[in-house]
Amino acid sequence: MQAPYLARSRWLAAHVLPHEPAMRAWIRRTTQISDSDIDDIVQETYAILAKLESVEQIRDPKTYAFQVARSVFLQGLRRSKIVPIGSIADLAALGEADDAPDPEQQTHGKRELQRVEAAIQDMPTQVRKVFWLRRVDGLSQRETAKQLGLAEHTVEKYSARGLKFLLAQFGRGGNAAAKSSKMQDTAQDPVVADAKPSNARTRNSQ
Amino acid sequence: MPERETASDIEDAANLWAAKAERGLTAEDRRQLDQWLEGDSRRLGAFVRAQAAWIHAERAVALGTMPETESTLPQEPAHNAPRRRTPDRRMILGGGVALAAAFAGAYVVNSGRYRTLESGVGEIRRLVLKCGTVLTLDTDTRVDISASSDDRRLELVRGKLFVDAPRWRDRPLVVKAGGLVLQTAEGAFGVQNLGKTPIVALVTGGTLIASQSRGMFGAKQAVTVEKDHALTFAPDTLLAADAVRSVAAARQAQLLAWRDGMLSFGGERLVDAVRAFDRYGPVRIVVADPELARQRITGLFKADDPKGFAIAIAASLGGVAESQGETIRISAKKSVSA
Repeated sequence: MQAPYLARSRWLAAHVLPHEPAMRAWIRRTTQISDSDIDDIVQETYAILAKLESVEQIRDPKTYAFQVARSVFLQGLRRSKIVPIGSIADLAALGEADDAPDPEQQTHGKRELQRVEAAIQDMPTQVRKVFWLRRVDGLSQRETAKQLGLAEHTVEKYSARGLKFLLAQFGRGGNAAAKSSKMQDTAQDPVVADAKPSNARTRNSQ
Repeated sequence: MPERETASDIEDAANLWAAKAERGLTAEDRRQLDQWLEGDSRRLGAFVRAQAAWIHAERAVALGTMPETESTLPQEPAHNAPRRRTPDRRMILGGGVALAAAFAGAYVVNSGRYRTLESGVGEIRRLVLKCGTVLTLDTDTRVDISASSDDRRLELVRGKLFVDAPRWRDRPLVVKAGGLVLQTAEGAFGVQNLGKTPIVALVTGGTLIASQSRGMFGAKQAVTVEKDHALTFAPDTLLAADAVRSVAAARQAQLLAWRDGMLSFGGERLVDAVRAFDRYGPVRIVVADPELARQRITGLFKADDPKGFAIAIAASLGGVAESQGETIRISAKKSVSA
């Protein structure tokens, strides 16, 4: 049976996941809520994007995803599940998810590759081997198990662990690719690294 | 109120489900997954996020060799340095499979002048070239890549190809197809070259310049194909500006549905639609009834499931689908005889 939500996941991989660090930085900056609350918002946001009947009319997925995250935050606020109202730094700023095309967009391809590379470097050896055989050499789970002399069940578990390392590049630690020696010229603070000029301006002018 | 599951717990469980889904789910797995997803609205989000990360990681192909932990990183300079022939870690690991499989498609020819990527019948291949370009090959597709071009010059020998090319140095990405040369500085487009039918190039990002060479002394004819436009070019005709038309978003999705292993129809005659399945496998659908053959059909179907298509379509048109060996026959319901 084909994996469910595969087409949508592909769309998310291309259009939303690369912007997740920026989205987290933006939520953190404008709401000052805790990381675990941000994790909740991010998951809810993906869930909403997964359930959309169609995404083909979405011209600017990044802005759209930010808007969804904003509405998730505001809904959580209404149900006061997330934070007391007093902790919102600047609700108005949340209205300005949108901005001009990302000036960094051009370098995204390179940055995405660095993220993946950093994740692979962080993986424990066996997990890394499993990931590489499965994802790059294109072996099936069974072939990978045979190649490495592991149980299929173990390969599956290692794939899941590999995913954790990949997701860490987009999650709380934020832009861990910045740790890579090749990115020394990038700011170390993930918030700064991911802040877009227009958002930074919004904040500074308030 | 019961203690709320943390996002981090959900992520761990979702990663396991994504790994499972990736190797294929049984009906029972699927039932359990659905049940799990229903338990909390965040779970679906975590699940698609994990799948997206898995898909996103396919770009690791562009790394060429498996990265080690930083301390043991091999001190190799530029990535275009000639590949060392000493068996590196990857060769040992993957054995003979590694190199060929790194290019996903069957690695048929490496004559030194070009290498060939091929997808089998019923197979959809995605791979990333050195310059970051992502190729998607539809079933039964062959692409030759010129060896001296840093992966920037391709030829679509047959089949359907989708190209998503980032800007790379100052070299345009060039795809030859039939008598046409298509090039873009950066962009995304689908091309099909299916023998006798016209070559179609649909641009979804950037701008494509299509040119036709008319022999050594003939003037070169070129047209520009902007985003959301398609070029249709019949072999052995002259390229002209009226070959380019704008294409609505819905139609684009339909034309590119094959990338998700789907065939999409929007008002094609049944007799034409069934031929689209021929390219994906040995099964042939025959429409026995001329009345049914003329019916126009709409919908999204799995390309590798001609039987499911035939049954669904027959049912919607009040007919029946019967399979005999590799043939599926769609016919009008027989009049009640008993």
